[in-house]
This record gives sequence, C-alpha cells and structure tokens, in this order.
Amino acid sequence: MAIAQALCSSFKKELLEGVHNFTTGGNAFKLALYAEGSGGKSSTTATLGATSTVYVTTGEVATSGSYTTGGAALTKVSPTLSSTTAITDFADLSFTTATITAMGALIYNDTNSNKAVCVLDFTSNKTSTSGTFTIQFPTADASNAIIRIA
Amino acid sequence: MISVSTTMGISPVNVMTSDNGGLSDEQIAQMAVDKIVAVSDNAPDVIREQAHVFKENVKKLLFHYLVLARQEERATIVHTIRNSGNKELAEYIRRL
Repeated sequence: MAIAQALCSSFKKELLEGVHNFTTGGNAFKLALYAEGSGGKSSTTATLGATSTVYVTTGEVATSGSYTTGGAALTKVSPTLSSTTAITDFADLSFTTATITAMGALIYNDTNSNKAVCVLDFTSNKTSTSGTFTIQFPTADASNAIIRIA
Repeated sequence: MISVSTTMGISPVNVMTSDNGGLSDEQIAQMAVDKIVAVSDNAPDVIREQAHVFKENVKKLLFHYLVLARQEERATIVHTIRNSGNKELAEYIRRL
C-alpha cells in the first residue's frame, strides 16, 4: 500500500530529542492531503508510511477551494494525561468549496523543517466536488486519541 | 539492566465530504455523536448494544436541533436582508 497509517519512526526518535512541541504555544503543525493513483497532482502516487521523515510534494492533492498545497495549519490541543496515557489532539479541519480526492494525509512540523509526525490512511479515496472535505479527529482519550503514549 | 518500555499509538480519523455545497445536518450530527459517544470494540456485547442505542438517540436529538439552528439562522439572515431592501433575495434565501 502506498499510504499506510503509522507514527513515523523518525518522529519517535525526534520526540526523545525534544524536536516536537505540541503545547499551545509550541510548534506549528500542518496537515497535507495525498492521493493514490490519478487523484493526485500530475497523476503522481504518494508513498507514505512509517519510513516517512519529512513533508513531500509527491502525490499531494492540488490546490482547490480553501485547500492549498502544503496543507493547512492544525489547531493544537495541549498534551494531557488520560490516566497513565499521554495524549494530544487537534481540532477538526475543513476545506470548503474544494474538489479533492484524497486517500490519506501527513501531519508534519511546520516549525521544524517540515519533519513528519504521522501518516493517516483514509483506507479508501474520499472525494468532495465543489464541497466540503472535513477531517475529524477521534475522541481525545486514552483509547482513541490521535497520538497516544501509554 | 534496567529498561522501561512504552507503547505509542495512533488512531484512524473520520473523513466527511460533500458535493456542491457544505456538509448536511445528518453528517454534522454523525460527527458530533462520534465525538460524544465512543464505544470500545472490546466492550461486552450488552454494553456495546446499549451504547449504540444511546448513540442513535443522541444523534436524532442533535439532528433535530441542528435543523432548527439552521432555520433560525436563516430567518435572521432573511430579516436582515429584507430590512436592507433586498426583498427578492430575502425570499430566495427563505425558500432554501
């Protein structure tokens, strides 16, 4: 599979190095959308997964509506503890009046050299035509939060 | 040797899309209820079923008030536009 959901391996190492700061006043994170096959820009196919280390343009969806290449800024929710599990969360993200076909997304650190955080796999192509494309993050708890350290 | 092990996890996201306009009341209600009620796949059947019934009831309630919110907001918009002299546009929006 060209897009596989994963926390990027480089991100795990960089966490121990103090590269990523998810607190409200910390780093800026972005989410970029990608397609497999012909859904992407110039018919390129994205290859994203655990080995991704940085934001790439290959396979990213084209600018449309409120989506511009490079993706959009995520609104962070400062990390908290849910029992013994550390979690972080983002506000849902919407692109409006957009014609988009995307199979997945990459969250990356816009402040620190576009270093990759995680790859999201939508499992199938999701399409909006002159409409809204919304990414809803899961409930922020120990079992479901988008990023968890147990 | 001393070592501490930990696990890191990532969860799937939910994607909602629409064509020729914004998300429907149904989709927004679904998004809201997905945030409000989370049921573990490992929960006992009885609890899971009960949670799903509760979730459906909450969704119906949210849907009702979302429709109402849209109607009321539209009514306010129509009133403002009509007061500014654009009666035809106000009527068009009222009929949406």
